[in-house]
Amino acid sequence: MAREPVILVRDLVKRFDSMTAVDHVSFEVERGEIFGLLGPNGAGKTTTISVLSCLTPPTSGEARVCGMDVTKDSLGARSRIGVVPQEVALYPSLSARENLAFWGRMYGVPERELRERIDGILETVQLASRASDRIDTFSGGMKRRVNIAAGLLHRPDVLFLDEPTVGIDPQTRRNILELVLSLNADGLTVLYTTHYLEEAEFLCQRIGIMDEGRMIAVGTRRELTESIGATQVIRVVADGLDADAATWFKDSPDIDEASVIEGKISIHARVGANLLPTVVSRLSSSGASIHSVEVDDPNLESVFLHLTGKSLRENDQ
Amino acid sequence: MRSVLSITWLNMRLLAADRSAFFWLLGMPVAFTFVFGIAFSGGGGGDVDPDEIRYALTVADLDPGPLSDELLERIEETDEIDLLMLEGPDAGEEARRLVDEGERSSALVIPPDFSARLASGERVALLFHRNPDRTNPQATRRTLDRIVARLNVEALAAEGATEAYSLLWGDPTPGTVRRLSVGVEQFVRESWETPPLTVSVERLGRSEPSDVPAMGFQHSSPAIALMYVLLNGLMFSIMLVEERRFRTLNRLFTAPVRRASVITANFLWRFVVAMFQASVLVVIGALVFGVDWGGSPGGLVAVFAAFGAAVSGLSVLLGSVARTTRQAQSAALVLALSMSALGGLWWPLEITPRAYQIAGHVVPTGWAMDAMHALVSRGHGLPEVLPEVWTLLAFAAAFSVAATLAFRSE
Repeated sequence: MAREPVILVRDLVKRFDSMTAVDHVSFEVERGEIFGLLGPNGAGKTTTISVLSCLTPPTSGEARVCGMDVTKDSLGARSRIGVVPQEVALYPSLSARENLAFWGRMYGVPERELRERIDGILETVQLASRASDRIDTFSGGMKRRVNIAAGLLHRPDVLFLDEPTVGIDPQTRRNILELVLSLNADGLTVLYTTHYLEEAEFLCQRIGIMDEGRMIAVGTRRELTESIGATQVIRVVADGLDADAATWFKDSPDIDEASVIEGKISIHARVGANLLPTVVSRLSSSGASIHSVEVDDPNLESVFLHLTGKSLRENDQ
Repeated sequence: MRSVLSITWLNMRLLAADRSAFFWLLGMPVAFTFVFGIAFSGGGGGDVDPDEIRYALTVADLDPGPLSDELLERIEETDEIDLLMLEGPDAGEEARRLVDEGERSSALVIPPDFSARLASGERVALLFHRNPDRTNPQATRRTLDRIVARLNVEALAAEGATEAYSLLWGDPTPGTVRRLSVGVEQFVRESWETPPLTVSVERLGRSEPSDVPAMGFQHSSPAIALMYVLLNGLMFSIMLVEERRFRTLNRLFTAPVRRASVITANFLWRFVVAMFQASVLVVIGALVFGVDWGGSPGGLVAVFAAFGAAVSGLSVLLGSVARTTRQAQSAALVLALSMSALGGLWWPLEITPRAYQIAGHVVPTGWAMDAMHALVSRGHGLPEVLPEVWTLLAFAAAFSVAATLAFRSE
């Protein structure tokens, strides 16, 4: 008998009055996996996590966590999850230890184990030395780490991280991503929402791309890029390029597309790196003076662009 | 149960983390109790003894004769009135002007022919000016009426004695009339102390049994305690708004905690703080201001508990419907101050018009103050204040149901 996924979402719909925030979304997350929900703001990622966290009931469809239906066995489901909200949801005037003790009690951590667990989790997030300090004396990054610790204290089966790196500095962001990888290495299942495609690419074993409430694609990065036939792009900046240069390459059977715009030629090919010597040689022999060459792998941006006709980065701004 | 107690403890810990909270919970009420206590005591810090109050009366004595002097001596002998004498031929006009322009509350004008006319047996009227905006003239007028009544009794008794003498023995000589007059005066003076007809007044309760309100600290201590339990309780609605703003309430609902537990804990910690605050203020009232809280600790606990429950329910309701901290703060202030004024916490409802007294019982404060008045001023016990306690519990139930329906995490 096949093991049930840790998270099962099937045909999930969530409407707020006339607005459909989640529109027939389905996906599964296996035990020990980091699954990313990638999409621009307003795509329905947070609403999906809200349904899975039992914060809001679904309009229709099915959502199960650790085999428990989030509407029928809300308390059971909630006891198995750890939620790290997008905002730092802590009490600023209390110490890190007091905050963690409170959240531990809310999740039913036995009193006799509480202190030991708090010490352990503060070590994990590298804040043991600040245990007794008030949260409002912490930097933004430190608050984020305590925010994550509060979601881990009760040792959940699955951790929901809702855009945990929004508005923080690169160093803290890197620390958080490494922490998530480390937790996952210890066997924790993670559902991670983000609108930063680099994070999804770096962190997640599988990714679900959402837009306007719909799940438009699900798979590994390779599966996603291959599904749209995405290509590598060779970009060459050179003097002496003319429109004919693009025509030479378009005629090649290994090249899908080529264009010259303002002294830069872009060549799209399924295995662009293999064509690099040919491209450089051809341009040099035509008299062009090459300044730089770069090869871009196909990424989730290409997938999002292909599927929605718009850039994920544009939505970011 | 563990989650209810944990959330209750957390909120009290959050409150304790805010040092200024103690000032608002205890410091301000004590200061207000002192100020209101003094204001309603008439000075000296103790409650007013009506027998010790002296009122001022402006007097324009235009009569050169001896009887006006005697009248004024009689007034002074009462020890109830301080005479402020106006001199000069225009004293009568001056007295009228002073009262008319509000500089004096009342004035007595003794006409120029007062002695002459009284001596000849004619009727004489004293002129009493009073300013309608002042209340003092009522007491002054009562004292004056009492003295005039006695003088009338003496005069009428002398007339009656002279008339009786004439019927029995013919017209009296001037010397006989004088002797009759002195004798009657002597008789009335002695008899006045032990009159044949009196009204026996039985004082019941701790203060006046009727509608005379408690004053001084006996009023201000319970009133300010209720007012600050209300004001602070409603201000705690801000913490619920803040919990939503910090998203901690939202996070709480992702934990395996029942909604009912979260709401119950929000009622409970507010109630516990209200009872703590009330207890400390009662002790301070007794020890510092010498307030006699009555002989029914059970009644006192019941009233504060029912009132605290009503305030807790209203606080959670307000915290649930307010969208911003500012909204909650403004609404709390407006509600607390208007309910305090309306419910008789700033001044006794007994001195307000009937319509005001009815309006005062539309809000919990009116009922709570009634119960306090019964316990503290009249020495009643729990059975006598049960109607007020039940009414306050009805308020608590109504607010709590509304709060439960309105409670939201976002």
